[in-house]
Amino acid sequence: MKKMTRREFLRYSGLTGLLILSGKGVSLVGLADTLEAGETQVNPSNAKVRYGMFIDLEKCIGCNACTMACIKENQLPEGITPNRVLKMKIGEGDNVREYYQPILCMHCENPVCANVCPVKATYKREDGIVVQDNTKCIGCKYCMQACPYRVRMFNKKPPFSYKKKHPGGVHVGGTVIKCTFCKHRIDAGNISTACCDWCPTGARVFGDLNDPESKISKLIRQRNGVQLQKEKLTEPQVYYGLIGR
Amino acid sequence: MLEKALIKERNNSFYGWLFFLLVLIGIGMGAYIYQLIEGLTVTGMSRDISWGLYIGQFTFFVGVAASAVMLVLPYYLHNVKEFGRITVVGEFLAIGSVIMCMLFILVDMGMPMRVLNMILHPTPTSPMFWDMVVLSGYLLLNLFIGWNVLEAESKGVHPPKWVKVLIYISIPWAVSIHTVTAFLYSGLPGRHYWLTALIAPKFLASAFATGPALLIIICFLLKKFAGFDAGKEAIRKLSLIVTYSMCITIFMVAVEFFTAFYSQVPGHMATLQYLFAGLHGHSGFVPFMWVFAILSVVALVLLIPKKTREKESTLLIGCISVFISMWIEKGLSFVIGGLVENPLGRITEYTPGLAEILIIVGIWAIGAFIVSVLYKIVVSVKRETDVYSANTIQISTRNEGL
Repeated sequence: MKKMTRREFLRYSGLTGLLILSGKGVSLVGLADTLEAGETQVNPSNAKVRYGMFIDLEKCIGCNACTMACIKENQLPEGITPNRVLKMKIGEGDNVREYYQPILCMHCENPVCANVCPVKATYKREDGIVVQDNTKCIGCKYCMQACPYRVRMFNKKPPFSYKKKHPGGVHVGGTVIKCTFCKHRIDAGNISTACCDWCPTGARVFGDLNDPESKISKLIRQRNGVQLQKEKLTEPQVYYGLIGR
Repeated sequence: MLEKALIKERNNSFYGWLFFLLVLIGIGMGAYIYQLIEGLTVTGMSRDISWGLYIGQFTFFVGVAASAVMLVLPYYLHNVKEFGRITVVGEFLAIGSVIMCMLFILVDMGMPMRVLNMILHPTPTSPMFWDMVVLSGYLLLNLFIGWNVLEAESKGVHPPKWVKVLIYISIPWAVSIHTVTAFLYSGLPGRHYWLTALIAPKFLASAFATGPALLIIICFLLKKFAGFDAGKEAIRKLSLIVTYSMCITIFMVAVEFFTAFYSQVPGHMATLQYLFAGLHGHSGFVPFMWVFAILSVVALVLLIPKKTREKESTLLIGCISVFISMWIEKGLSFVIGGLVENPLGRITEYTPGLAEILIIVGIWAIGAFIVSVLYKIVVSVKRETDVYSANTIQISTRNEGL
């Protein structure tokens, strides 16, 4: 056999490396699978509907029932609140008026977070819900920088030991958590979110924005619903009814 | 070639230095294992400031890596012969920096064992995917180029032709790594401080100031401790590059102030106010930014006049000032400053955790270790070729004498 020179050896080993990579590395796929058994299959969501939420700030009393409902429904790790209620002020001096503003993922029509995700862990479903697949997320936190509303949360629990299954998927340490509009309820046929169910004053309404006769569409028309930071052009699907009555 | 790293160094302090770095690397590794066990709670990152020092260091070292082009471009495109001796020094600095960049990204990840997902689920819409592509490409380019050029030199032959092709590719590639890194930030609609097309040019300008400044410092150290002389003319040309790039960088930092404060748009002003004067009672960055301001003035004062620029001691002080001030600007204030004010106008401050700092020190040590070993090879090769060329000169003079 002809003796292989060092240069030839390097060339052939390089080629082999390329072949393994171009075959998309069967071993690599296998490794990824053993690390995380796949949990979410993309649900065949309904492309005709577009889910959104309307929040009437006039009715919100700042009781944080929505925050608690969210934590309970999605079995969130402590310290993580995809839905939270902010205390706001409007006016100046004697004219000041305080009000409460719940804030959650806006499920933007043009989600920057989904565009920047390097591993397709965050994506927009056909029914308009922006979801997060925690079996794929690498925890780079790029989506958190991209979100103009800062409603994405980082699960700081340890990556190796923390894993918690819940109805909407799985929480894994070191990944990002976001509001899913309670997609597990919607997929089961219950078109409402936990926060809306628990709201004692009926300030929050969930429904189909594509249906002009739905309660939410009517409310948005009646109350001149506004979107937060619309100038950012991400087209949020959460509308607010402003205070003033 | 690699065996040249094992040739015994006369100077024992070299081994002391390597041992010191190994200790730091060990401490950093320990801190990283602690971070893996505890999760990212050990860092100072929070909901609002979810990118901290790690990503800042990453951004800074992408600049250092890209700056190798400031030696390669003049040497190969404009035939600046003085740089011939040190292009490989620049390329090996780039190798160390790119590896540091990759490590900084890795330690910032919450789920580092899934990093292969970047390749398994390629996403062309994400700048981070492209950043991975250009950074790993740049690492390979520099490995191939540096290695082949040095090997050819040690054998006293010209490098193979295909290396030249790679060198021409590496020039725009170096620009691309820092541009794509800038695009990580400048395309996000929610961040006023980052949402400007100026980020990419500013990054490049500051990189071309920082990298050559670091190279001048390295050349000085190599001369002092390894007896490797880069040549006076090369240092002089490098210092000119540092001076011009530093002026352009400071200019670009300064024009941001006009846009922000003349327009009086609150979102544009907030970060600059927070960084340089404090905002809503939060002023954690003000001391650092004043150090930045003072050091950049010192650097400009020492570098612009020809007299101080060409004197070794003042040139060194100038270069160290450039390096530290640019580190504060890019490695510290740029990333964190862009995040302090949340969309509702509230300020969150950031203090890094102890483990975070130790990990960063560990990665710096890894970079320094790689670069030191590579430079050891360079110095060994150059010593051999220097002896060889000295011999040939002797022989030729003897022949002339005959």
